[in-house]
Amino acid sequence: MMRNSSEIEDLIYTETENRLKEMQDPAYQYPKRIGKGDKAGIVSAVVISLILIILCMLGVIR
Amino acid sequence: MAKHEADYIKQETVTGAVPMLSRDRQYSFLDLFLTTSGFAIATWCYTQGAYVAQYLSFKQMLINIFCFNIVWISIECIPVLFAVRYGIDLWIWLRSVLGIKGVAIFATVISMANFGWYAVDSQLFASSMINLFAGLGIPLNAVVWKPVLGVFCVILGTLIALGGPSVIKWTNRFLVTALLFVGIVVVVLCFTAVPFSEINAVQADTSLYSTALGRFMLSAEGNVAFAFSWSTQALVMPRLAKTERSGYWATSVAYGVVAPFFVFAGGVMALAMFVRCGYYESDPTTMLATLCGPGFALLSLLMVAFANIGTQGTGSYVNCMIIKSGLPKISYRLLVILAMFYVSALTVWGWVMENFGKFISMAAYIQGPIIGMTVVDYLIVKKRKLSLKSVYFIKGHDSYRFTNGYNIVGLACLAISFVVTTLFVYNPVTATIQSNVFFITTGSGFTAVFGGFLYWLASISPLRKYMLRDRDDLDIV
Repeated sequence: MMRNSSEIEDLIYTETENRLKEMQDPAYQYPKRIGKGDKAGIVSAVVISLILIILCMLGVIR
Repeated sequence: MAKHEADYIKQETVTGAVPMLSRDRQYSFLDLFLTTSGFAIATWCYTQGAYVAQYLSFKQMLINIFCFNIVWISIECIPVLFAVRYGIDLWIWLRSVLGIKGVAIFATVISMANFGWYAVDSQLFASSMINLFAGLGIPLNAVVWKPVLGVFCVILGTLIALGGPSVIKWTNRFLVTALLFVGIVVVVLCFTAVPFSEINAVQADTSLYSTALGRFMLSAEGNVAFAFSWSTQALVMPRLAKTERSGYWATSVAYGVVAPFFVFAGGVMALAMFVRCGYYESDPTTMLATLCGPGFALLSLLMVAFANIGTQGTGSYVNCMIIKSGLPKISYRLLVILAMFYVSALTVWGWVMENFGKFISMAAYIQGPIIGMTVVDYLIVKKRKLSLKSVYFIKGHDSYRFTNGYNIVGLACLAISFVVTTLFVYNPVTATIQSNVFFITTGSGFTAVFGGFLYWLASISPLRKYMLRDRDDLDIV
């Protein structure tokens, strides 16, 4: 059954509000955060790539 | 709650703008990695690879393709962490950077531009099919069959998109595994069809620019724009991931390694074609048939067909989700159908394919400042804390209404970056280098750096109060 725009808006609003209340609950389990190893991996990938790019830009790698 | 209401809410969660709770998450690392890779592996990768291969030595091509992509994808995927944590996509966060009406406008504009990629995708599908049929002794009239086959590809992709993330997940789980295998086989075959020493010895075409640095950075412009092209689409699917780690790595490896690998494969094939035939070719089916014989026609047919259809399906889902974040009242199914007609029209028109380089750079000039501002906003300005109630405009929470729904500061940063880069760094329309800054950052890269810098500058000026009205409204962190 097709809903009108106002009904859809109300339904989405109410559901969003309920979900946000659930997320505000101290018992809500957020997805596990990334760790130090992940951060080190990101930084290493960027630094190594930048070094190789600079070597090409300087003409060291031809 | 009535069943149809529960079904509707479920649909709005998966294909809408409602935040996704931990219990709703469907995607493991492998699911997200394969789905995102399925999206990333398309035949435009070969077009990009063939373009870069002409102007660089083999080693420089390798570094140019992988390193620029890894640098920018690693950075632009950092906000994946909020997408996973709060179960929202980039465009919901951007309501706090551009304002709700700013998001509605840019989400629509960028998605309309993004859909240009899918027109390229379907045209490559059509031309590959025509080539393969010709190879099998069945000539097809390109004037008639190119639009027909292109639209056929769009329709098949639409059917996948209508199935939502679950159908996309299962489609890609099989397709991508097979495609990755095929991609590796393709590279190995190229190196065996033509000796590596000959590929390595190909002299770069110097017609693009007189200096080696100029050629390297002009090629980089294409790769940075390529990396940026995923940005506004990259942060839609991670909301389906179960952990931040799986969300970040699945997304960044798919866009930063898998997609560049296929660009690299395209580059290797183009070089091998040059050694064998004396010209560069970007159609993978022609390249494989020439280099490895007609027996590989079927392999390349499967590769091209599956890759393009899978990309159409996932791309339609992602871009319709982007539009929905700005215009949440429109039904997902309606958007997918409208997208089908729009991409079909672009496919028949053919302008994007004919102006591929200009197209990706122009799109990147809008996406670049958004990347810069998002990363700066997430890490430095808002320090990873967003008012979820304000971003969803819950009654009594108005931090992100700004000026009639527009965040003037964010929009000004975007506009200034676009104009300054075009006038003073690199003009993507005329492909003209305007200053030496281009040789350090590229044009697209500058839009991101400058956009982020301007946004940060605004945040330490008196405009801070306007930008950060949400600091007393951070209930959910």
